[in-house]
Amino acid sequence: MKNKRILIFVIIVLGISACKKTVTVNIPHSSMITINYSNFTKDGGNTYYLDGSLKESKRISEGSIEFSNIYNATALVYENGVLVDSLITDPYTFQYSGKYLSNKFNHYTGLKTYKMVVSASGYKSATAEDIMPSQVPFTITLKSNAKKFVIPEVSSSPTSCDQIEITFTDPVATNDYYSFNLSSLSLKTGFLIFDADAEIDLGKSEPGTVTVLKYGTVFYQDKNFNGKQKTVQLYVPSQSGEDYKYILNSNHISKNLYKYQRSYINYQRTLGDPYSEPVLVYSNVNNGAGIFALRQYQTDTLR
Amino acid sequence: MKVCVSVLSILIFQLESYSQKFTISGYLKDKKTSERLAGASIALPQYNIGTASNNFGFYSVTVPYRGDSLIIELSYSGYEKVRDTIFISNGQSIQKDFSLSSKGDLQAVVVTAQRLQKIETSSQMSSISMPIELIKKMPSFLGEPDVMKALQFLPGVQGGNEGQTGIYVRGGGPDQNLILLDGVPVYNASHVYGFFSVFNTDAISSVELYKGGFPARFGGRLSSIVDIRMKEGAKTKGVHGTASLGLVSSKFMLEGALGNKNKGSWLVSARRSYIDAILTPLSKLNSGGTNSNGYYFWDLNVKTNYELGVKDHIYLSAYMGKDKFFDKGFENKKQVFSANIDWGNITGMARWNHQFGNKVFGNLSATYSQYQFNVANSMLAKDSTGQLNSFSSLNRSKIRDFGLKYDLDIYNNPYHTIKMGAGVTFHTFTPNAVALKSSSLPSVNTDTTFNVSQVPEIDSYIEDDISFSKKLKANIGVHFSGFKTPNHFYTSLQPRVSVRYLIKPTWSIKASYSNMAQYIELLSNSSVGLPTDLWVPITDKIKPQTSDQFALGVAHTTDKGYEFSVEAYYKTMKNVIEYKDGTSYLNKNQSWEDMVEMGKGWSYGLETFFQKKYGRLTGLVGYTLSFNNRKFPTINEGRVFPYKYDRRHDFKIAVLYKLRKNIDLSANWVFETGNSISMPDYQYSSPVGIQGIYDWSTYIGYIFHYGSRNNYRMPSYHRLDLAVNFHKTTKRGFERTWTFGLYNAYNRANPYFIYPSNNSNGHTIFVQESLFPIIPSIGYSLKF
Repeated sequence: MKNKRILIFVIIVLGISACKKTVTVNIPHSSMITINYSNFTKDGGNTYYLDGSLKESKRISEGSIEFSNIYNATALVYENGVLVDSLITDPYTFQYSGKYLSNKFNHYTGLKTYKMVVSASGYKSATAEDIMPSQVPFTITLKSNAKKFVIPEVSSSPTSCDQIEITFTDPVATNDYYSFNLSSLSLKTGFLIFDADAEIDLGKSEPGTVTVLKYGTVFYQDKNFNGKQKTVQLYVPSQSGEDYKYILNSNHISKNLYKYQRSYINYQRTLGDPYSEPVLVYSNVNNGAGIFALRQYQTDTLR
Repeated sequence: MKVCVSVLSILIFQLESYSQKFTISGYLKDKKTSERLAGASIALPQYNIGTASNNFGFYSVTVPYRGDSLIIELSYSGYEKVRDTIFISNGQSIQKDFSLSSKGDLQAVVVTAQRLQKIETSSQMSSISMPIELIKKMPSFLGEPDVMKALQFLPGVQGGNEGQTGIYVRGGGPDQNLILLDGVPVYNASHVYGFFSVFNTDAISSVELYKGGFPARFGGRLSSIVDIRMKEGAKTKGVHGTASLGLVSSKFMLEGALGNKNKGSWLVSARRSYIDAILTPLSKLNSGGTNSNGYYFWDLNVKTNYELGVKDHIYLSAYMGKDKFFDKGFENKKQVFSANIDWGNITGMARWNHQFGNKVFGNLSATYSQYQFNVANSMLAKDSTGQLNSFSSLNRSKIRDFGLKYDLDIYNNPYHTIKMGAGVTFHTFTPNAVALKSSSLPSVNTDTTFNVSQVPEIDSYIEDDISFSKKLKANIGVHFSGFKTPNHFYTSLQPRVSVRYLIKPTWSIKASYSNMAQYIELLSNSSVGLPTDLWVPITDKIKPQTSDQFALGVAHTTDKGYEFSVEAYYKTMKNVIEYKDGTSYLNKNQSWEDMVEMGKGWSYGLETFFQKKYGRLTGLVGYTLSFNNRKFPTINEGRVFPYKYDRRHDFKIAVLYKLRKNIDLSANWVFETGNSISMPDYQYSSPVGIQGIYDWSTYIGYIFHYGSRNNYRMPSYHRLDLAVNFHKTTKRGFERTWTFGLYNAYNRANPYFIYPSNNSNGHTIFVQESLFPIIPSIGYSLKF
């Protein structure tokens, strides 16, 4: 409130003598290939296909957020230097999504390096590589009305919450990264509560405090529980009625995906705030934009 | 060979120490006002040695007794040189005060060492004194002479954005400058959101800037010391002073003697703006009487001093200043709403000078400094039952210091001037305290305005200004400081060295090294001098900032008195803080420690400075080539990026031309490479449908790509200011001056900030905001 008033006043004072003009900012740019790819499974097993899009980047001043598809691209995937896949256009969705899909399901093995090389006429060849995280099974339990939390955005009085408990064993000798995403068509709020956990650093000065997340996704690294069995508790405002279900995606993600995800969510959060510092969204694509990132994941439908 | 001569000289000095010696000491004063003259030069030509008076006009020289007659020469910029012969009775020490006559028409009006000492002779480097007369005659924004803006004309010193008073010295941030008013730190030196500084030029006697080669007596900030001294007040009969009228504010200064025997003096100076006189009636008119708002600032300087005896002198000085923005709402002529934002500094100083014998000068200082920022709202409203309820809120941020310090100047022999001292400061921080009061909802009543943290800071120093030989001189010292946080006691031992070597009588090479530490931080990611900028102490997690600075330079004065200097510097800074990606200083829900990251910075550059001090045309030219970078663990993905005020080229010229006896013309021109800002360089599509990773409800179709932080260079900044002063002495002997000025004379639209926006077709455009077009000004002052 006070800052708003100050800013309004500053604007009034400055506005008296302000002059404004539109300027051209000449930042050289030649269109590049944007790679946005990750791996998916249809059967819940550990065979995956790559799904994503190849689109063209463009100048800031080009206005519309429609991005041109990359036509006639050659998109190859190498496993430890050996060609394992050649992506093909998705005939049903390519026109509006620029989607190229894996030619086949592949067994993406943990700790192996996968490299994507995309070339197309008129563009520099773009490359990106990532290391597949190892398989980590997650055990999930759900407990209704387990705890109450004050969620200031919902109510000043405590809100009853369901508990989702995730247990897994963190692999030894690697830096591991995890991401949990909860969704439901009938969720009352988009809030996900992460209970106090001193072992998990969400980037706050006091790790052991309750954190309310607005985007339904929590992600962190294993810095403080490397090689141990770990139990994570998530809470969501309790739902009433029988017709709702939670869909929990538990991901063991690569470092690239972790860095991308952190920066992307930060970017989303600050959109429209002219006073926030700019966010550099992480990219691992050489001669291009976007992300090529791998994960092992498990989807559970709860209740 | 030269080294042998130097060693021999030292030995001779030591041998001389066994011969009979005597000391001549005393004070140097202005003949007309009896104000003491700091930094005046005292030379004993028979001994080929000299010294300078200290900040309180005291001097002391001890030499071997060679006869009953001693010739002494005294000089001070703008004053008649004095040569006197003193009778020494049997080698007995004597105390003698001297009074120097002002030349009346100050010749050295452009940036000069106020001391007559030539720049190549001092061991001090990287420091410049700005005469207050020059500051008053320079073209100024809206006709308001400004100390801080005048400093921006010096090489190595940059202003922030258009019109702002903040300074950025050799790659440092705005919080890395220690601004002292009579030795007391001033935490927020700006009025009107940074467009004017809090220093009233009528009450100021001297301004000295140190940007490197810091003497050991200074500490607490990394990048600069701005040492501003208030006038003492003239010890003349009757009341004298000046009165000035300007477009923004008016001010007066009165001074006079205290008591009948010229033992003391007093000074009062005040200034008030009248922006509210225009804004308030306009707002009432526009709202039909339901709303009234306005803004004003004022400041007040008071100083007095009194000689308790020959060897004791006391000083008391105070500064108070306030800015206030108010907004009031009325219903049926009854006030139902009020919002006030006010902020201001209070400083106070009590000082006792005592002379121990004739070689030691002691100075006890007790200081007080406070900066406070308040947002107060109150409201009256009827509820559904018709009951009148009141609600009020107060949000306060405050820093308050109590300090106690003792300094000693020891003049044991003319080849060593030793300064030493120790002090303690108790900081009290009250950041973002809240008081809420409601007549209808007692549950909201809160008061955390007593939620303060008190932190002691200690410091001590010793420095020696040593003459090894005629050619080699050095200032060597060490500064020690300590600061307490809840679980740590941080300490820092900071060595300081400054060396001068005379290649020829008018040429010298200088080198310096300084290590500095800083224990408080200014939280602000805005370049505008917002009063919400918050001073906070370092913590267990956020460590003290430290710096190491090396400088090497050459100084020369030509036969015609033109001064020329070149300095190269290299500065590294550790634990500097920067806001993390995506954080905003407006976000009060997050701890400030979480929003910032510690990293390192380094800057290096070359500064050239030329000045012509005498004649009808006087002036200065400064050019700085500089590089200024930062690196943090995660910001900018850990890569090096340029600091916002990394300006490659910085060129300034200021000239003053005395057209006639009663007319002088002045002009300034500045050219600076544009600021570095973060601008997106292209956009690309964001990921679509990576299930389980992204929430579709928050999906956005595009991402603006920032190559790196501060990746875009704004257009260059340049501006010409002009002014003409008409002086006249009235029949009653008053000196009247009319000043006409032109700010931004060729109406350059300098960029204030640039941001991407959308036009009516939905296309992204870049909009540049510029602040000040050509602005004329007029001012009037009367000196009586």
